[in-house]
Amino acid sequence: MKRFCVFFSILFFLFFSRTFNQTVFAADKTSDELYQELLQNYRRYQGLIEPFNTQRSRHRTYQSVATQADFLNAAKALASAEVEAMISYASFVKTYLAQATQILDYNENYSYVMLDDELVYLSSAKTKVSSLSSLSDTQSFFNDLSTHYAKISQFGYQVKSLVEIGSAKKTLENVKVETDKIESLLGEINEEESKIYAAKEKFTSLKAELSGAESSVAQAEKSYKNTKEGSNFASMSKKVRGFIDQSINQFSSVISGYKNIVSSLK
Amino acid sequence: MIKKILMIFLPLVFILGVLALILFFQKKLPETSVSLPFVNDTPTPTTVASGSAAAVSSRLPGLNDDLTAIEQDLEKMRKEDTRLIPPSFIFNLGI
Repeated sequence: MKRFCVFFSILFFLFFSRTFNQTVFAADKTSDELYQELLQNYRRYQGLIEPFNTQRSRHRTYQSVATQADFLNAAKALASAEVEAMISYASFVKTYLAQATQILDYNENYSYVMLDDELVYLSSAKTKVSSLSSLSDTQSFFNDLSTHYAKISQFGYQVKSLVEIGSAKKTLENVKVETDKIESLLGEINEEESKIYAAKEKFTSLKAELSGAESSVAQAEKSYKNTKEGSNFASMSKKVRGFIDQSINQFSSVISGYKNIVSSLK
Repeated sequence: MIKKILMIFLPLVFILGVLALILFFQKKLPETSVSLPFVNDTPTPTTVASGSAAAVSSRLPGLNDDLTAIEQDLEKMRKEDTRLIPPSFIFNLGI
């Protein structure tokens, strides 16, 4: 009996580990593929804007039952394409975040779960479009969709900034490692040559420059963290990018200086 | 008697526990097996051994390679990934 229980426990464990791995670690599409899908769906959506505008103008002019019916159909077609494009965008952001989470070693499970919730909403919205039977219903549907898309957009900007900050922080870590190596090398050289003195002096000034880069990264992170719900995430993202660009220039200058020191020691 | 009950219930508790873990992580964990297009595997820290001038110069090429790898990372970071900027949509019927 005991052996029987142990055997089945192991069997179940193996079965579920396999299922777990398949469901959790299997990615259906890469972010690049999802982006291509987004482009296709967005183009389709853009193609429906003109017919929508035409039907709207007709309805505004004639206000007849026929024009209202045509306008409703055009609006529903537009809404359907809009939801499809949004699903592609949200899936793209989600996959991108998954990649970044893995590579840049930070936990963004909250955003990931929230994006999942938005995808569930979009999936239900997709089926709801076909049941829209009046223009007022359609407008309410659009209002609701707009609120949800604002959240999805917020995640898009957040993920963009997170990845930029994460990449800069990773670069900072690597530059610090190289700084320690060069410092150690310079410390080992006891020759009293003017070239060595110059290299040591240059290294000191580059270390100060690296502090500047570190501060730019910290400012980018601060801008990101200070952005609360309801803030302008587009503006936050732009601000973060500004600091990241600044840090990239500072890092480049430091690295080019380090390379100069290394080549002078050869 | 207690032993028999335990022998039946313990595996059940174990299985339920595994199931609960699966449900919990399914919601939390992201997909993997993909890589970002712009973040390289940057140089790894190496221990610095002290030694003679010859030993110092032997470490210079490796150092130079690491610095070049960081430069390449920086070039990738310079290119802003605008794909994440959300596209705009119409939400107003305009009637």
